[in-house]
Order: sequence, then C-alpha cells, then structure tokens
Amino acid sequence: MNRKMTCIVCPRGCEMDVEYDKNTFIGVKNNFCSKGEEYAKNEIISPKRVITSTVKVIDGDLLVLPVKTDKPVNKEKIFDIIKKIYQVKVIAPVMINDVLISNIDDNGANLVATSNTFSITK
Amino acid sequence: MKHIDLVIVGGGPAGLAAACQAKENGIDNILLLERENVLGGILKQCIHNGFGLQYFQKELTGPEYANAFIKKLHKLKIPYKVNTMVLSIQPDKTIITTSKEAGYVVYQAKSIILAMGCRERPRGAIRIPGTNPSGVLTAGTAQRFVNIEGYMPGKSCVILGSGDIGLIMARRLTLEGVKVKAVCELQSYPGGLSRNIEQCLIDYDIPLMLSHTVVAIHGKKRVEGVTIAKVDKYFNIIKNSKQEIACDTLLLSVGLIPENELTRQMGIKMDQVTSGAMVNQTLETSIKGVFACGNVLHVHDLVDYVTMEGNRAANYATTYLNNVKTLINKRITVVADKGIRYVMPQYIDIGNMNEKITIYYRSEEIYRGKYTIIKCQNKIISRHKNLRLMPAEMETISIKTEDIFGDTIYIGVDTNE
Repeated sequence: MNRKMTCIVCPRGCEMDVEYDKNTFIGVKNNFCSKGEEYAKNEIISPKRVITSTVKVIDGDLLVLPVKTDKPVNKEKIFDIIKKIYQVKVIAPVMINDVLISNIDDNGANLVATSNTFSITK
Repeated sequence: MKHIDLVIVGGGPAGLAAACQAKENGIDNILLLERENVLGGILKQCIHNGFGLQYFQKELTGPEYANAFIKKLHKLKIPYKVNTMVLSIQPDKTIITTSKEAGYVVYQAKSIILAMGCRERPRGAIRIPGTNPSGVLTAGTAQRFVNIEGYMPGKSCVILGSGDIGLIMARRLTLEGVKVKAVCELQSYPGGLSRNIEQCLIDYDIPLMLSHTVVAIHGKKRVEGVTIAKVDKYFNIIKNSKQEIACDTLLLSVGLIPENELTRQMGIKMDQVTSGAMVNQTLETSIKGVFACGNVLHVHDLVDYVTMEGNRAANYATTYLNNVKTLINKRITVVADKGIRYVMPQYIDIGNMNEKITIYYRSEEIYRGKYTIIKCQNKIISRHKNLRLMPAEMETISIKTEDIFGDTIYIGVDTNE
C-alpha cells in the first residue's frame, strides 16, 4: 500500500510517498533527508510525539510551569500521559530540565521542566 | 540625557540575538529595552516544541529557546531594562522612555536596532458581523491565558484562520479538554506550516474547513455559537452553505501585523505590503544607523530565522558604529513581480565590491515545480526551481551584485513552465 505523509520533523514539511504493508515499512520517496525516512518508518510501525503542557506551581514567580516529555512518546498514550500531567503540582524553585516525573510513559521518557521558576517567599 | 552606542528596542528573540551578537562584535555600550517584566517576548507562551532545529540543530520549546539567549545575555553582562516603555524615538535617535522604577528617561543613541515584533489582527480588522459577546479572542491571547496565566478560555471552540498559532492552539486546547469543533480558513489553502496541519489537526481529528469563514457570531453575554459558510474563489459567500456551530469561544488566527508605531512616528519609510520598514541589504531603514530585524520588519515563520536576522542587524550596526565607510555607487529597487507578494530587502545598495545578496520573499499562492526568476530590464539573470512555493513559507533566492544592471530588479514566478 502507498500513502502520502507530511513529515513533521522540521519546518520544511516534506510531502513524502510512503510504501508499507500493514505495520511493515517498505520504503519512502520525496524525503529531503534521512530524518524523513526515520519518521515515515516510525509512523508506520509506531507513531510517536513529544508532549508539551503546563503544570501548577506553588510559591513560584510563574503561575504555571511549561513542561515536556524529554523523548517522543507513543501517540496512543498521549491522553493517558496528559492525565498524569494534570495531577502534577510543583513547589518552586524548579530549574529548566529538572525531572518532574520519571518514566511517565513506562518506556523511558521523563516529564521535564522547560523553564525556570523561582520561589517568591524564599 | 544618557549616551548609548547601540539601543535595541524589544527583548524578544530578535532583540536578544542582536544584543548578544553586537556585544560579541565588541560593542560594549549597549542597552536593551523591554516593556514587559521579563525578557523572551512571545517565546515564553509558545510552550510547544519545534524551535531551534535550524539554529541549534536540536528541537527546543519556546521557553527553552528564549532561555538559551537570556542566559547568554547575562553571561555577556549586557545591560537591559525591563518594564520600560519606549514612548517615542526622534529621527536624531533620541529615545524617550518611561518606567515605574526610573520615571521619564531620555537616551541619545548612535545606532538603533528596532526589534519590537508583531501583534495579532483582532476581530475589528476582519469585521465579522453579529453580537459582541465575551469569548471572542485572538489565538495568541488564548495561548497566553492557558500557558502563562493558567486558565482556560472556554469549553468548546471554533477557530477562524489557519495561521500557525491557531493550529498550535487547536492542539493545546484539545489536550486541555476543550472540544475544538472546526478550524475555518477563508483561503483555499492553509495559512500555517504543513507540519502543523499534520501534528495539530490531523493527529486529533480536528476538521480543517478550507474556503470557509465565520459570517455571524451569536450570543449576548457569552458566545453561544457561530454561523460559518463556504466561499467561492472571490470570497463571496455561497448560498445555502451556511451552517451553525454551537460553541462558547471563537479564536481568531487571521494574521500578524508588525508593531511599527515607533517606526512610523520616526518618519521611516514603510512597505505597504509587509507593514514593516523598507530596508536595504544591511537591514538599514531610511534613517542612517537605524536597523530593523525580526517580525517588526516582516513576519517570519520560524524563530530561527528571526535570530539569524537579529545577528545580521547587529553585524551591520557594528559596521556603522565602527565608522567603516562603505562606498555606494547606486541604489537598486527590488520589486515583487508576478506571483510574489513581497520581497525583503526592498533596496540593494551597490558599491565597488561584488556581493552576494539573499532576497527573502513570499509567493501569492501555491505553486508546484515552478521557477522563481530574477529579471533586469526583461532579461532573466537568475532562476531557482522550487518543489513548492506556499504563501505560508518564506523562501530565499540569491543574486550577485555584479550580475545586476539597470536600476530595478524584478522577482517573479515563471508560471509558464
């Protein structure tokens, strides 16, 4: 089977032609670089995305703290992971790259802070 | 009055890059002015990833991208002032500012880099008929509410316009439990990057309705719904295509306007299409020593390009401050020809040295497999094949100054082939 696929790795957004058979990746055309091939392969076998969101902050100079998964996670797990992110409350200070939940997807991805927030009382 | 060699107006990505680059070029007497209480500009609320692939060769979120430059600014000990509003700039480069902390302060600059960014087109700019309830807001305002202030703008929403911020917010709101019912786009093609259509709409089954617009807003106190309709290629509403969608929020993602009040007030020559200053290849405006970069000059798709333009502006400001005399023999006007919406720079100043000039442009519509051509007096002097040209994606074409003849060059799309 063939399908068109827009690569999301970079802003170039290559419109690729992907050949596959159910969950088996066969080949890709019209990709500008090798990242496109890797993306197409993943999309066929097991699509992944990085999740970004915010969490509540206690005593911080920010009201909410931006966070991300430090690796792409399985697409079908996005809403489960978002539910876990809803539950998080952090106490300032938190520094950029601090791990807030380790192994949030049971597959090695951690939830990390993407900004600093400093304590307003200390 | 305080004397400063280089004043940078705006502490977003363009201003931060310009400040760091100028300092690294050896300019010490710098001052960066920012009206908000923190540096970083709009990046602070762009918590999604996808920034930095070109500039850092790695994927960052907006706050991480901003933080990299804020850290650098501190490391380089560059003076800056936050909570400081620039009220006006005189053509002689006197800058009048006000702040709660210092009051009314006037600076005399030798050189200025304008980096004020842009803002969103509001409801008033597109004249949607109907009532005026709460719940109609720009996508960027909603983004600020959710990502910085921490509250939700509504429970179910329609988005008008498929600009990147609208697409990003469609995904963001969906993840936060809002039902995003549709994204309507007046044009027959999307306004944002293809990758955002893919990862923000298709991933979440959010319908993208091309050639559709909002023709009425309903509700007295709060939005209760909108009427949308299909349009033909002249944007006339097609009869019997109206449908009502119940929602409590309407987000607008209908374009960005460079924030050039200060620029206009200074009497700098403006480009009617970009709504930014007209500049030569050194990003210098019609006032000597005043440069512009980033979204205040023309709206960019990627922050990486904004950073690079900030760096360039700093390099040219450095040349200006170091009194390097550049001989200019003549000024060439760059004109957007067939199929091209705008070009930047609008002028090329040619001296004795051969120079490679990069011209940035956007197409008027989608073209596939067409050539972009540069013409002088009806003769093609350069051509470049494009797999695709899209209005949403900024493109570049290069030219050597020794190849230019006459006093005007035309950048166009060769639609014949």
